[in-house]
Amino acid sequence: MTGFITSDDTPSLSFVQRWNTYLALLMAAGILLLGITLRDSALSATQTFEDLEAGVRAQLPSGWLLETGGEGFVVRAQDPDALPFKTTLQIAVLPIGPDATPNTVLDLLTMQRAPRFSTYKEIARSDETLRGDPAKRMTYAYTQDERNPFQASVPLVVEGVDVVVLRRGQAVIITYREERTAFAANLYRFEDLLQTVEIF
Amino acid sequence: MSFEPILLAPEPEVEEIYPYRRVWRTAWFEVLALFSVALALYVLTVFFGVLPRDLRDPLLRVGVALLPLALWLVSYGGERRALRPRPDLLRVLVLGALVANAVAVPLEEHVFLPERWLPGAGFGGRLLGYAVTIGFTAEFLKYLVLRYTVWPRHITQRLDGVAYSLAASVGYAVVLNVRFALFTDATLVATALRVASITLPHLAVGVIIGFFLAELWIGRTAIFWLPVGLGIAAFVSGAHYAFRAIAITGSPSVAGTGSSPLLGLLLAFGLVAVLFAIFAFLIANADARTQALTSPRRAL
Repeated sequence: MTGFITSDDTPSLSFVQRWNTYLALLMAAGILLLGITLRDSALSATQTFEDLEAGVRAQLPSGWLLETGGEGFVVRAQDPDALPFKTTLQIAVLPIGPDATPNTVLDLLTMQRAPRFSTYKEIARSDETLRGDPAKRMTYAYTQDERNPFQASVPLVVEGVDVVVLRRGQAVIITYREERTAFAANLYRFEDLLQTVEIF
Repeated sequence: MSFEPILLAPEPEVEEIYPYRRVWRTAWFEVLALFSVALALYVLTVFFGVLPRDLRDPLLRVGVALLPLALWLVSYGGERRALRPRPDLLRVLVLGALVANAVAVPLEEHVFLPERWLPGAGFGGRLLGYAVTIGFTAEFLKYLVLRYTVWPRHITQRLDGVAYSLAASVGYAVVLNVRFALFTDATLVATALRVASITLPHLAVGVIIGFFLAELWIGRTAIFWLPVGLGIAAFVSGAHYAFRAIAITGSPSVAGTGSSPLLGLLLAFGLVAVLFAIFAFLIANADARTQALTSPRRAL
């Protein structure tokens, strides 16, 4: 039989001291949870956007800058705090002919963007469903230069995704654009938008 | 028959030698020296133009970031010369720095992300948000460092808690300072102001944890004493962040943007002065009460 001699110079704690320690640990777990909950509720807070003329209603991130009725879109929301690229969500409505399909709409977008965006490149297309309607998703990328010569910097690689769905003679194009390194991290905002967008 | 000699003059009382380093004296030295350096750099740069406004020498910035550590080491020299030096102070400081770099910074940058949602919130939201995220994290980590190293073995008096918590706070703050100096392109004066506004609140709030931990060992406390202490520390920390946003970012006007970094420095100094005064009073009061309860009663 092997015997162990142990020595412990730590004074023994009283009931109150031990329970103070346990409660402090419990409190830390609770506060951590509260902090994450507060962060989530702040970051995913939304505001309702509605355009009766275009027939679009959607939940857009709270605190983002909204631009409505611009050239080629119904609404564009941008995160004012995002650096170096303003994270963008956009909803556009495009009149289409009777033979148009989501694919032809995406082809048109590609043709329009190629001369406008530097090194524009389509990455992939896939089928998906948006609230029961067949839709098409396209991902793409391009580089964006800083226009201000006093803020000269390395060009940004911007990644984007469009989802196109056809409704009553018009194509609804929902777009998300973000700097490449933050694209995946903020993609949930786009997915949230797709879940909440209503076209009527 | 013999008589006791009658003394015409009272017997001189032998002054008891205080064997420990005087914690408040050295803490005030650190606070005043850091505040003075930051203020001097600001005045010399902004008002007198002695230093260029765009001075960004990385070595100088890192030097300013390490200033709290240098000041603490001066105090530590006094500790080593004391009759009864407090053991493991340096270990606590290093552990404070390690938990800041290994736990607090990743939590802030990858989990809590306060810069993404708190600056735009209202005063109450900012206070609560900062309190439950980076405020509580900082104080809880300092508590863990003290709780699992020096507590309760090296806590023989209430001021021991303060001395150890100040060491942990300096280590914690220095990591944040150095990261700011290394990973931003701030000017020297901005770095000095930031270093002061990081370090002084950490010293101030750290005292709360030190007091509550020491009291838990020495005094008679309730079962929720420590959670209350952590809650107060986190709340004060959150309040500082919330008030600092108001102090630094004034209202823009035709004359300028309204930014007032000097107010941020004064706020940090005010916080540390108020908390040091409050806890010096509380500790002196508690010590006096303990002494009155434990000392033998004099017969009349």
